Amino acid sequence: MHCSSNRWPPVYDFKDLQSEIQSLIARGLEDGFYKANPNFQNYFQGDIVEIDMDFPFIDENGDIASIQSKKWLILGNTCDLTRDELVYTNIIPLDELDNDVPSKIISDLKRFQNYKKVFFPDLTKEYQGYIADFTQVCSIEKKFLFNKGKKVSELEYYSWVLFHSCIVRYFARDDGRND
Amino acid sequence: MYRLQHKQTTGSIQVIPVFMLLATAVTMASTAYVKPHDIDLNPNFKIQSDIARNFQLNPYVIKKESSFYNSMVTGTSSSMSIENIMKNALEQINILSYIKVDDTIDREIDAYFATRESKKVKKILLKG
Repeated sequence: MHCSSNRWPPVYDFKDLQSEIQSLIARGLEDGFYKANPNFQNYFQGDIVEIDMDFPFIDENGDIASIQSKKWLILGNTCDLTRDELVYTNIIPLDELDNDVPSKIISDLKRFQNYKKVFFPDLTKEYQGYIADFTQVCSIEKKFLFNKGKKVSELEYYSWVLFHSCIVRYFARDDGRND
Repeated sequence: MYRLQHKQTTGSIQVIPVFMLLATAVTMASTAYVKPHDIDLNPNFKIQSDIARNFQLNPYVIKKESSFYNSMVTGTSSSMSIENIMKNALEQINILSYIKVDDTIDREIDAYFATRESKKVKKILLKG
């Protein structure tokens, strides 16, 4: 696949966006969350990619450990994905929400009531959905991602704005030090 | 904790800003200052922009009927202007205010996943 320089336009009409995001959440985050016809030739922030690989992290002993994941969310911004001189991007392993997850937890996640865990619908209905945890971010060489990954979903504009808002909401939180 | 408040106070709007949102909005090398003699502004209003490093926005009060407020939310100033910075910041704040988090629910979700059976973790043996 080849990367492109296509980018979403900047936010410019708040009322329309607010209305659409409200509508998106009200109708259950299924219809209209992902693009019906994804652009499989290019990668964008928010894309879901299938690669069966390990998510590496540092454990309580300072050792490098890992958890396997089959689906990944591209966190890195779209602009950097298209630049050949940049080697890495950031991805997050998607955690499946099994049927044993309580309905209240699912409902609260669908209302985006957790700062660090972002809900993504599972259109296959195999799971109740997925969550991307902002505390679980790793780097990956783009060459490997593009060559070995299989892009399966692309966010619609409004759900990308919602995702973007969650990114800012989590990483740019006021910590009260200047109160 | 993320703080966001909109208060109606005698015809004015008070916003407790998110400093890092505004810092990300300032990516250009420019210095802009609000003129202290601007009569539309509350005397406590301050905004400083200095090459995205010292950008800060103290709590401010802006009269909604003021021309400055109107230019902020409806203006199409150039990307180098402080008005456009404010417009972008207000848009981001408003978008985020829609998905305001109930902190109690946030903690409940964290607690649930903390006790949820974790996936199999394996050690990665480093070659050396």
